[in-house]
Amino acid sequence: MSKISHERLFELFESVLEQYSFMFCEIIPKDEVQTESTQFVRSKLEFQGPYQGHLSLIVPDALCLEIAGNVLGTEPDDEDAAENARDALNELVNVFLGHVLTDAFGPEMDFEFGVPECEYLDEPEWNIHLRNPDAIALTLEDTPAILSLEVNAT
Amino acid sequence: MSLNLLVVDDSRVVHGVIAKTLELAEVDINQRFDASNGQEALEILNANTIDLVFSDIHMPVMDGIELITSMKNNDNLKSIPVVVISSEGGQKRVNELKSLGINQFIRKPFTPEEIRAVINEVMGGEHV
Repeated sequence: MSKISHERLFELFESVLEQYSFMFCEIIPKDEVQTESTQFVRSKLEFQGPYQGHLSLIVPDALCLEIAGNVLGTEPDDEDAAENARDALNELVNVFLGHVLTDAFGPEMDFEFGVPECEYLDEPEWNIHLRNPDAIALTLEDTPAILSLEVNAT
Repeated sequence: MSLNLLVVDDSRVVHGVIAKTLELAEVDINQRFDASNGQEALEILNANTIDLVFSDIHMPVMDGIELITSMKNNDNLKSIPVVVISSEGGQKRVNELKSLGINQFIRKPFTPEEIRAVINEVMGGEHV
């Protein structure tokens, strides 16, 4: 169950991404997703409240460095970006989820967030997530990514 | 007046973002202290003169609610302004924090202009 359309999810993500990391994204058809990456990072954040579920963002490993570099104002090959790459992805998901839930359910509904968790995925796992009907395919600075929101009644 | 600021968050990225935003906002900072949880923050607060605290809510060891409660129950710390910075924006949570005595709430992501406005409002003067 989700009270938010893929189009609205994308609009919110686009806005938060631009403010948080000064990056730009586009929504693309899933059958147009192409990547040469073999390793991906998934950040997942669960929430509980009047509704429960999770938000997930999957990006190629190298894009984490770019996000961290943009957020911290350093180059992607900077030591700081490398050390904070997964943390930067988790923080993006954390910030984004707050906006999504407020947009979908209003500020009067309170939700408890879990702790964002990162895991590495290989290409077959990436493809499984891409086929998820709740997922939308994006490009972030021309690099593919998968965004999904799952919402269930408690 | 240059400010001594304490930033409390368990994410090094958030410390970096706040540092960069304060710089872009041209806030007049004497010294910025960083803590990764409420317990570390209390140690810094007890050992230094801090003018303003920026704190997250969810942190390991001691979270933001416990930190604010400890500060408000301590005669030496209760008058230090606290601004909570969080991605959560539920009205109930904001009201709960205000009832604990926080001075302002900033929703992530935030801009240098928002940080500048909140500091000037909370500190009662121009600091940027």
